[in-house]
Amino acid sequence: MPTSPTITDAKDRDTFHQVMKALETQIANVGAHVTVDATTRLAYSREIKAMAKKLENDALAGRISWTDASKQAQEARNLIMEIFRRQSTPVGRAMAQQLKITGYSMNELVARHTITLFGESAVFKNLPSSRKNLVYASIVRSAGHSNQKVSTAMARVSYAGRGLIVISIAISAYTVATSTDKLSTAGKELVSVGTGIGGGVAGGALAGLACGPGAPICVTVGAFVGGTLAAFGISFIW
Amino acid sequence: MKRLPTSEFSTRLLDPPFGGDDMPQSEVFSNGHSTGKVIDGAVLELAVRWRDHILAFVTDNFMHEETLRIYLFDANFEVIDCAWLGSIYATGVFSLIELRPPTTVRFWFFGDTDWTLELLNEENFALPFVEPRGVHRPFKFHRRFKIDGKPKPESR
Repeated sequence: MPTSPTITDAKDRDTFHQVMKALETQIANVGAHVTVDATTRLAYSREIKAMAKKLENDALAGRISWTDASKQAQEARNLIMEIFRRQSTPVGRAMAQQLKITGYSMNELVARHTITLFGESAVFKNLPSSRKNLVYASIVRSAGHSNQKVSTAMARVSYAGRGLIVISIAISAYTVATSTDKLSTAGKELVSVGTGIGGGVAGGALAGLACGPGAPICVTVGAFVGGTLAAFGISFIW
Repeated sequence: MKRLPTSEFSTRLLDPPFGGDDMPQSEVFSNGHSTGKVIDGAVLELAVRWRDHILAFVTDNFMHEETLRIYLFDANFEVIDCAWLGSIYATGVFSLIELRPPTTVRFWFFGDTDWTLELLNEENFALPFVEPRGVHRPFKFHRRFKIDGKPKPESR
């Protein structure tokens, strides 16, 4: 004989809805993080290529010397990279900072490109100026290269991230469509998903402060916890 | 264990386009003759003979996102193990610290640490993905060399 719903059943149902809402929010949270970081990576690849091409064109047109172009290529890239690191999510930033990097000095670059172009026995200072310019041009072009395997992988990840966002939107749309109070439910969906993403970013940033730079696992956990707490908080308040 | 001059072992960068992802590839040469083998990478940084094997360190020559590729070739120039050091937005500069016979190579790359590569006399079991930060390998359960290092993250 079926029993009537009790207070415990109602509490269980509320808890279930809160957990499902947190899960839905996490889908949007992961999708947003992945999309932002993948898009930033693709923009990075585009920008350094454009930067190298512009410097090459300026040098070919005689607006700057090849020496200056190669120096600017080395310096501009650091600036571009810092901008892109700032545009990444805390998780992406932590991944970018997980290794202390060592960059080539200008002298090392000149020596490497001299050998690559003119053989092991070539010495830069003994080259005629036309060949020196070829060395500088090679350095400028090299500045425009990024690891295409990483960029290709990130492009695929970007699609996956967008897919997660679409799934999250579809779930929200379904929830609104099947609700009796559509306006209130739409507002609740919008706020909870937005807060979940914001909570994820804030959680990641806080974890980054706590764990120090270059700790992607810690920051990822922080982003997950932040997103979950924010989702639970909103569904508790609303 | 001894360092090989380029007259004995070298690589030659292939003309682009390379593979589908536009990454540099090089042909392997032994004593000036092509072996017919092609590997990823552009610049041979170091080659070491060990028994009848050759250990080669090759970089992509991307100054702002350098990858160090390490290959162990058998006597027929088949790659019997490989690994690569690299990470998104990260770069490094290869330099040899020392060859420490009979099986160890110490080098610098990135992470502000001394990297140690130890050649193994036979295939050892190893779990995939259990490598120091920044070190990557193809998915497999065996290895012929192991890489150790304690790379540091960037400071704030």
